[in-house]
Amino acid sequence: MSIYEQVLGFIEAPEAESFESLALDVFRFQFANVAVYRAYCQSRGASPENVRTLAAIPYASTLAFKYAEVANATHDAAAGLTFLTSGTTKGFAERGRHRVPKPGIYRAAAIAHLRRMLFPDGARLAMLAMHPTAERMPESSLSRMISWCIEEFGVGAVACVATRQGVDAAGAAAFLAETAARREPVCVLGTTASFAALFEHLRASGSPMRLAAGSRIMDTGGAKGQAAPLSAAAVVHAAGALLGVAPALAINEYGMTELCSQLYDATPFNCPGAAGTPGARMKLAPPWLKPVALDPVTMRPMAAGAVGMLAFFDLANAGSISALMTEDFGVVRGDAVAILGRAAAGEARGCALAIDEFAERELARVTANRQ
Amino acid sequence: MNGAEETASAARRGATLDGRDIEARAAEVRGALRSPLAPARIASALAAALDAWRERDFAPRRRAIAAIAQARGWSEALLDESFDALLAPFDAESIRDFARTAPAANELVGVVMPGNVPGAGMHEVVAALLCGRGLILKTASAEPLAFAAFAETLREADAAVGERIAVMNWSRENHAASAALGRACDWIAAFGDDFTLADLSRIISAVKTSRTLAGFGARYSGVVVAGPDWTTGGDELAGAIARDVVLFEQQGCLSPHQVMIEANDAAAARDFARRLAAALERQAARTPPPSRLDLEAAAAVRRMRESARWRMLGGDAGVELFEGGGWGEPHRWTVVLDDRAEFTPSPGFRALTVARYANDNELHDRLSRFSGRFEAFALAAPPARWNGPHYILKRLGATYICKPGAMQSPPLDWRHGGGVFLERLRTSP
Repeated sequence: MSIYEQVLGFIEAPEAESFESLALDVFRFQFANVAVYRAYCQSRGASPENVRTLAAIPYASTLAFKYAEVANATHDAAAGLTFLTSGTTKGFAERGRHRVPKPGIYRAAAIAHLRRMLFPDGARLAMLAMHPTAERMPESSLSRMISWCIEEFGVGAVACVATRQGVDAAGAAAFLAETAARREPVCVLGTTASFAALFEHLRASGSPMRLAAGSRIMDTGGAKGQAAPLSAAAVVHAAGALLGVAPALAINEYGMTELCSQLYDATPFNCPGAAGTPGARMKLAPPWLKPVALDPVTMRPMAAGAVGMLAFFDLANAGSISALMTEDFGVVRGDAVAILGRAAAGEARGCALAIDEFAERELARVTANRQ
Repeated sequence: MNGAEETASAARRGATLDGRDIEARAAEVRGALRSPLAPARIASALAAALDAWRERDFAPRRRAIAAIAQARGWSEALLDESFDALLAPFDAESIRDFARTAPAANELVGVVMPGNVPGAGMHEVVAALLCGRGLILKTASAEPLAFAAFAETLREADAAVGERIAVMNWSRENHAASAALGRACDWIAAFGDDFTLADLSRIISAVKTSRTLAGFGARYSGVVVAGPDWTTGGDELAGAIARDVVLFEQQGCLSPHQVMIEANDAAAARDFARRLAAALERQAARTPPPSRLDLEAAAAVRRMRESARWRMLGGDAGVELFEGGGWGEPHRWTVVLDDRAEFTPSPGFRALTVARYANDNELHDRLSRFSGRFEAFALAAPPARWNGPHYILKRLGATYICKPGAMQSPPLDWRHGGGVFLERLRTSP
């Protein structure tokens, strides 16, 4: 059985006790076939000969996908799908790329965890995408995931109201108003920024709505792309106030182009007993994704519950690099993760100097001079 | 009481301060200002206090340094060398010279001190006192000790001068105290990151209905090595730059983030980066790096290193990473040779970039993204090559240009932040 078949088998029927041995097999496969990861491991003194536990597998920075060609020698470059990280100031050429030679594994991982976290009730719903779907933005891993989600869990009305240029908030509101009028539950998928645009539109138009019971939202991306970022709690609150979505059905996703697996808010909807308060939510990893918080100096795991740099071993990344350290801070307890934010990249420190001069005195001085 | 406890104790005391405490102290300082003092007398008192603080075994300095070292995890050796550099320009003659031309005015100035660099703000404190101002210093919660101890020394040198300065500590969250500072003082100067400044501005503006705001963001420093002659004495030059980098753990606006080296071929820049790495290791032996870094600082250094590491693994021949401290060991220093890099802010804690440039035009282009946000540059150049880079650095807004090794010792009349504080002092009300 190929390594991909083994991983797919694990995703379909996870057995916790076999995770580590499969992870080590995946590591050996990647060491053998992903040249840049092999070079990195060798620079760390790690090789299949001396890596015998999950903890000994070297975590590569997600920056690997930005600066190096993470290619698997068992596939040609055209195989599978290639996703680009979201571009910021440096433009297209500087965007990270993640080649996924076996999209079937990515799809299986995405769908299985969506089923557990966003559709645990087995519902199939009308779907509204507020981020471009895959045919509109093929290089976006989120677009691909949204398209898969629509294929798998969509029924009845489906719309995508986003393009590369932005989201059509009025179009989204119109679609939602129609589903609400039909009392048809709907699932709304998009970035947090796109939800901010929708909420702003609904506030401005003074037309909050009440979606049918069972409607749900999934937002992702957090502050990215927002001038005044909506907090997680604000999204949940606005979803309730403006869309009538129950708090437990407003679910935030944590994912990134470099990882084929995602984490979702644990709420009473998908995880009985989970905290309902948005600010206190943990995110749940699927069984094939092992989270760990690392000490950025020693690169060793922090004690349970201590803040560190989040890292993951993602079996679904079998075709590229599975052991990845992100740039996010967080706390890990078993398969639950609290995301605490992004590490700053070399911020300027505080020798800034400002002077507040109070105009009362200035004014008095000017007046006196005139006199 | 150890350093961390002393810091915590000061914070506890600060937590109980309210607006009336600040206003009462302000009234006392204003009272002291009513008795005129000759500038020469203020200068003498300051010179005596600063002379005492320049002595490494001066007991208040020792206590302050020990406490800061313990609270931050910085080495005492590093703090001693940093304080030596900071205090070097404050000799009696410079103070007297400044006093001779200082325009006096009977004003009360509030100064919100920075927490990133112990002792930073000394230039402003000395200049303000010499210009006849009274001061309320609000120290940072991260560093409440050094200025309190210095003010005590000043009081011992001359009680009348010492009465013109009050050092107080309260937390950023104590809005009532910050607002009282705004009410009590004629004007406020604030050091801090952009967030702190915005926060403070909001609080203070709430109590003053109309005001003008002259402010600017964080400032950066660097090093330019111009001309082909650096190879003779290259190790000495690298040593001087390493000293500029490590003092105050590279946390202040005078700490260099990047070295721009004029060279026609990459090998020369690589050679210099190697020498700089070796110099940082020598410096680390003399002034050990911090015993601990907070998570964010460690993550920022990690990011710098991983960026370079993966660019190298990705085949970028223009990048090379030099790391002090092995994999999984505490960071000692980091040098990234990034041959064609534009000016890049460093995460601090002995981490910097070395980049190559071919001529003055290219130097200007690579720095220009930070135009107006530069503070200091060390310039190493033979006399024939001095003017070009010097002109460029001035045009880009550098307020202090010096030889390598002197970056942390700007003169008393340094126009910190473009001179806005000095100009305000020189503007009589």
